[in-house]
Amino acid sequence: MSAPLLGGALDDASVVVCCGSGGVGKTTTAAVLGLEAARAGRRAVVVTIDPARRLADALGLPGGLADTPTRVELPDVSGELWAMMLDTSAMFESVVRANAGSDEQADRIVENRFYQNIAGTLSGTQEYMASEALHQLHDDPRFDLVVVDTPPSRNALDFLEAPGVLARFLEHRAFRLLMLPARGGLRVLNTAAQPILRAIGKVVGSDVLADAVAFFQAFSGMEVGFRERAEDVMAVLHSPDTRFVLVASPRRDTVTEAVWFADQLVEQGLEVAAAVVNRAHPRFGTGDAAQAADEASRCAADGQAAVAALWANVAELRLVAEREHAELGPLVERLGDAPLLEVPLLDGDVHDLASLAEIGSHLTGPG
Amino acid sequence: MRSMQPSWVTDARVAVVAGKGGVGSTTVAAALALVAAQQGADVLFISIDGRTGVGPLLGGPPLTDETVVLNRVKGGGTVRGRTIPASGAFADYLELKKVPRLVRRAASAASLDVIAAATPGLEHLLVLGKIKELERTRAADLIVVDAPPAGHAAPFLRSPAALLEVVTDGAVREQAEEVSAMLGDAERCQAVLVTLAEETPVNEVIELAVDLQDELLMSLGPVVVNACWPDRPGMSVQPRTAAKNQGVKLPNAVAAALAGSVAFGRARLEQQREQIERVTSSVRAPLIELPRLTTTQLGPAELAILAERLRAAPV
Repeated sequence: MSAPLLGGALDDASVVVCCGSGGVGKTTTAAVLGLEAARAGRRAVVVTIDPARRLADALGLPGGLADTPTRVELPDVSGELWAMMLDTSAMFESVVRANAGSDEQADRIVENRFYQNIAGTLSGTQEYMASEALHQLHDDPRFDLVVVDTPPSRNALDFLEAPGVLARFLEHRAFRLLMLPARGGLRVLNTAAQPILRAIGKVVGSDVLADAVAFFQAFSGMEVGFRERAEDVMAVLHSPDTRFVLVASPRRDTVTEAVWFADQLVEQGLEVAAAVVNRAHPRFGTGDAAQAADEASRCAADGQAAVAALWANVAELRLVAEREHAELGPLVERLGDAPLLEVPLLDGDVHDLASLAEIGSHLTGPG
Repeated sequence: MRSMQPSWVTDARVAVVAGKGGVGSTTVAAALALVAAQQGADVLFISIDGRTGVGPLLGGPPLTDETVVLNRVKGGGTVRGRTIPASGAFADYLELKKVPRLVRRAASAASLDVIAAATPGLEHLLVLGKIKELERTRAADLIVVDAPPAGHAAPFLRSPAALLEVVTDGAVREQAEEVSAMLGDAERCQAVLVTLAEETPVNEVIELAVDLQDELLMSLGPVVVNACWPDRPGMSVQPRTAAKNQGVKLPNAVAAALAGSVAFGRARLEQQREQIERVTSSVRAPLIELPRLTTTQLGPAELAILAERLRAAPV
């Protein structure tokens, strides 16, 4: 039996959501959590947002991460690890097709230029599609654990609220007001809205507006399905089997954001299962920075310049480690009983399964 | 106006500073503003994503959407700062374009956020449009733009080009044309890209550089490699050998601690060299290395160190 992952915080979880600001190593953490779960006998699938090439290589997927789950070869491991990268546009299209009344309606939407634009760029779309992927994989009998890496965001609620935001957008009062129910043909506009539309058209361009109107017309009738789906996705996010893991680095800015994420989760009636702090500087030897600096001065005074230089190096690294550790205080306090695990900065990039496992060794064991 | 010293920092009237989240591009942007002010320029610092903390870093109050003075550099120029929030930019723009108030109000009722959301890049364009207005009216000798982080820098800068593809008429198209012209003019605008000497940020900075130079025809200032490990002297010698040469004997635990830290430092340095080499071989722009500071939170003192390094860099 392997040691508990994140101090047991993920036991019985069926979904793990990794949140944190950009650049803190969320994708790597998600992959390591999946790997460790597989080693503990689970059938885990990891969904990443980044096209993390180095991660794909480390997992032995030289073709890169595909947009459908690919099994990672893990010798001597009882469970399974699968990995995929989210393709926002493809996922959006599959949601449209699942909800459309007919193939013809789906085609009309997918071919619309306005749709093509929002599918890739509307804010919240990526977050929504990530939660949609999470929902689909959650229902997939091949897996018993879904680990999802969220888009970098300053706002945890972006991810939690995205399904609702998009549904609201698509049901937007504005466009509903602008259009009367189609009578016989397309492009039937509420005549009272015409001057407004003309004004908007003057600003954003008439063909952009025409595409937008055509899109909302084509979309008509699908709002309910979209909203219901969004509610299902929200239910998965709020299920007790879903765990939120905060990922941070030992710097004041990312710790502050992690604490803020935690506050937002609590406001939503959710809780943080654990926090992972990546890239903490290792400490060398047993003393503190001041002691190493004393050794450096003593050696320098004794004419041992070479040894003094080595002590100065230790002193600097320890100083960084000490300052980093001090930054974690607010996060530790915010977490209460939830465990915080530190992963040391490795001496190289993550490049193979062994280096992922090395990180994993810091995430397992008693919390 | 004080005379400005010629420097790459003020080669163009707008410097857009961009990098992946977590690489310190906001810090570099602040350091750049400080250098320019030290050289006599009046600088306007603009934060796009609403990070207000850069105000105190530069010695002033937190940023708001009103311009405030952050720092008067002794013997030099001034740094002022503000944010340009994307929300509200559309309404401001309609006002600027003298769209009648009645129509504006009606359009508001029809929720402009939907129109803005529905027109990809529109908010970005309107923000860039404001910057272009500030540049055109010479609101400062140098405008430093702290671009949005985390992969949003490319869509931000690409917004005018993207809109030109879909919008064939109207005021937005006009705006997109004017902003594109500014971005592509080396005297008016340059991009300063920031990265760490690590695999993922380097991948992104290479991609972004190619995009900006080849597709948007933007002029690239130096690529700043932030937080570089120092190449400390004496790191190539094994601790036991070093001690032996100096006639001292190290206890085992001490030798292990020293050796561990040396091995760690060397491995990080080796990786850093590899990544810097990738930047220099793939990006047609000079490179500036900034040192890794031992602090976990930057203040004005650390900013001054970084500014000095930016100033002294041979570009």
